Amino acid sequence: MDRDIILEVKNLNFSFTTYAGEVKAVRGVDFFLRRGEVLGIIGESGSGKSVTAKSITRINPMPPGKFKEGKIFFDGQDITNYTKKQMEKIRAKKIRMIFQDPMTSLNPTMKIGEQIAEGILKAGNISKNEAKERVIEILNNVGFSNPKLRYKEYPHEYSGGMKQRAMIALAMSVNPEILIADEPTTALDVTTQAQILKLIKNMQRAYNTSVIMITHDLGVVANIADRVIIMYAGKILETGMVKDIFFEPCHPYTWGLLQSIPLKNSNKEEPLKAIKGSPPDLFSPPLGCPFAPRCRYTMKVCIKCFPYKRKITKDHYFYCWLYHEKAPKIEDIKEIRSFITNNV
Amino acid sequence: MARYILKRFIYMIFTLFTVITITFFMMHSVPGDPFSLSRETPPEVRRNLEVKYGLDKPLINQYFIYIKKIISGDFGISMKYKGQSVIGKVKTAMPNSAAVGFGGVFIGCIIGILLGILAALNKGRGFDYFVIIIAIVGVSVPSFVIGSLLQYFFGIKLNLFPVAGWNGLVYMILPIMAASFQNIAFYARMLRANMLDVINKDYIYTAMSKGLNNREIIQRHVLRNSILPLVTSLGPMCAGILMGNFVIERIFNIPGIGQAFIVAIQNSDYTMIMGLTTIFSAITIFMYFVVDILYSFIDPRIRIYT
Amino acid sequence: MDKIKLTEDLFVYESIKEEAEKISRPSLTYWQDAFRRFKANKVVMGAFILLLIMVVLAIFVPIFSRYNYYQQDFNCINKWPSWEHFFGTDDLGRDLFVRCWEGARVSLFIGIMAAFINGGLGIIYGGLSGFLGGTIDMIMMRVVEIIISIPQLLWIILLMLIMKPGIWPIIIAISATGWVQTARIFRGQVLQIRETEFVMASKIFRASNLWIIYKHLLPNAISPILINLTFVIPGAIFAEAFLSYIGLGLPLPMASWGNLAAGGASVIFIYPYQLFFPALLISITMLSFNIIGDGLRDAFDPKFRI
Repeated sequence: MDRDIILEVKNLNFSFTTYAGEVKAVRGVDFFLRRGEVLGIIGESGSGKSVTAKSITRINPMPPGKFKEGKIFFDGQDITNYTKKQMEKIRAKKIRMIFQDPMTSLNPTMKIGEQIAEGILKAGNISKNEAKERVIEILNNVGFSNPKLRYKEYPHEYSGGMKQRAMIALAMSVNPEILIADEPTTALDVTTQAQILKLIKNMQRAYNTSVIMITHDLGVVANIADRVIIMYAGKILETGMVKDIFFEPCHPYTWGLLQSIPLKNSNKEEPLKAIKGSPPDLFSPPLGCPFAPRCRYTMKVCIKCFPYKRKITKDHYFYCWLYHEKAPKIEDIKEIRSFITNNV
Repeated sequence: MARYILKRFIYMIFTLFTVITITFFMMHSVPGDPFSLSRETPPEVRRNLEVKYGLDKPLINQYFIYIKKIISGDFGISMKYKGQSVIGKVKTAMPNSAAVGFGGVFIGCIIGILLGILAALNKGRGFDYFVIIIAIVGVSVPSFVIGSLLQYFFGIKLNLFPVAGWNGLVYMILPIMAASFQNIAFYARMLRANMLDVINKDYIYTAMSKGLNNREIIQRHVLRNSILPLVTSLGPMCAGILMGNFVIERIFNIPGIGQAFIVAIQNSDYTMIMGLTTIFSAITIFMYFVVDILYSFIDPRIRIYT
Repeated sequence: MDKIKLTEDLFVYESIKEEAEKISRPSLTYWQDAFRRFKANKVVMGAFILLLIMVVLAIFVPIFSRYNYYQQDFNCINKWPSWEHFFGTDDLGRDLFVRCWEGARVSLFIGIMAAFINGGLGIIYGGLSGFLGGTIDMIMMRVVEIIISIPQLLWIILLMLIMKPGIWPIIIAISATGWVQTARIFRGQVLQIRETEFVMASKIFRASNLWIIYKHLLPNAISPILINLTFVIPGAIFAEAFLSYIGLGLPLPMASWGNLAAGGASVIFIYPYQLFFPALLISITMLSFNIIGDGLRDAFDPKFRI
């Protein structure tokens, strides 16, 4: 067991039962997280990234959610079948989460300081006063200028950015081993986004926390992540270190994502390169590669069977039939890659 | 904050004034006049009575006289029962109505809230259905039916409580039970809906992610946010308390304000009707005012902005 | 994952682009979805069918029955239910079965008419107020506040004092202040929708106001109003019963659930069946409407869509 790995997820399968049938949101996802690294999970809406994250601490509503298969290892321990109480302990001390919409993520009738203190008190044997001091300290660390005053205020007295900072304070107040950030900047404006990302980066470095950053924004990933996972329709399509993904992307979906970023020196008349189509319905997910309908290089085998794993380095691997010895050669690869490198 | 209170207060006075005016003119457009309904009165006596009650003056003058009297607290004398002043009647009748009213709301509130909370926590299971049924039945079955049923079963068949009348604590039990039924239904349903709503909110996820167990989440996050909206319904509830439930007082023969009102209507006792209506409205308006102010204190979101 | 044989022919380009844009789940319009959910709820459908049965009985029983609702027979006074008289007879020998269903016609008619007038007035008033906005809106809302300062039951009583008893006066009295609730709801919807992005988007596309009203306003606003109206009907039935109880209801020999129940209540200890049947019918009807209203509310609420 690699000492370095703090979280490992194996063959995670998660579904939701709805009136129309079973939605297979996550279909066989494997990944790991090393200590002190920032792992970015990228995907479109509906790709299953949020569900995956919530499954780690089992925060998904179950019903209608169902944990169908898989194993989760935290720091070497198998926490898949932990009892409620054991999971609560983990959530309190070890793995914390911040959510997407700061406007609704805080209890409107409770003082901010008390909400943060609540988490600290739950985590361990600490007196109320000590907890309060800890809160003021962490509020200071996330950049509030008057933490004593901020403690007593209510959520509606904070701006969106401030609320998200308070959420970060809440999560980091117990110095967790893992921080899962579920699209923390999506609901914020661009300047605040930058501030929050910077804050997360700083916190991560200061506390040596391992971070899972979920987003649909490649810019965020480029900014903060060490390693990246690209999810689509409940499956992982490619994963690698940030520079692998940006400089040597292998999967056509990754190419599509990278190419669709608006370029800074683009010709204004050129249309944006969006990927045509939309993700498949997860009621009856396709047997083969889910990206097949939208891929330029689809082959018969892509429809019939999900690609086997292909490794380039220990950290960089992907699932695509294009590189199989029987597949036709792709001339464009070099061209695509250089386009991306030059412009993105 | 003080400005808010002042504004609401002026508002209240204005509304009250308008209501009194409306009631006054409405009462005076009732066909016939009070004296034509009692036995044949000779015209001279009639004339004297009219002068005595000021009915011979033009309507506008009557109106201003009435307003002046009200401000000094004189609501007039009953036309039917000589010597019984309206205010006097109110003073004797109000406590009785209030007793039943408060009892009904108090018990209804507490039991209703408890049931609502338990129902939400056991959503989908037997207890939940039980509470839903109570909630719907409480709203659908008219109060006089419930009152009559209670009288029949507990009063006659089981002979546990006195069927009607008003002479001590034990007489209050059945009426309060009848009065609380609707409240139980109302609050149970409201609490249940609120809780189910709150449980799905984002900040509950946050609470879960802190590692809080179910009990803590419910106690500290769900409950407070579920009960808060109840305060808005307190206004009408309180007004209802003091005004007395007409039907209940009728069935159980309780000498309260509701009964006084019904009797006044049946006797065409216009001074009484006017006086009671004015007082009812005044209480309702005042209660809305009080609740408004209270609410702004309780909900931290409003506190700052008013 | 099954291992398939990776033959040469599989690695041939194949385009399945037409699939890309297809969204698999059949998309339902708002109404279809709500309707589907409504139908799926068995309890609600049960209540709905029950109501239909009642309407059918209300129409046909008085036509096919042997007796007339006002037919008196002094040989069968106050008889208990029997094969001759399913619901028994009252103190003038009238068959209560026929009277109950005759009363059903009256009470249901009152309820439905009240709902219509309530809805119509409410939508117009609330719509104007919300749409015009500004000072007009403010004044209109102040008027509304004054109206609700007097409890609705009180209004109804006062209005009935002014008018002579009859079906239409009762309907008018009930709707005269009932529309206020509908107006508020509708106005709220109008205000909300005015400011939404999709209305602004429509304006960008130069859609006319009428189109906006049809496509955007109505679908969104109708559901809370519809739900509200399903609760208005039982309220109206209750109000009518209440008026009969205090003597302001329909005059005999007309039959309505209200005056039947009131009559029955006065003899409950001797002939309980005289109250039982009308009360049962009132309760079932009010219950059904409440269940349907609840069901509608759940069906229309997009949050419950999974």
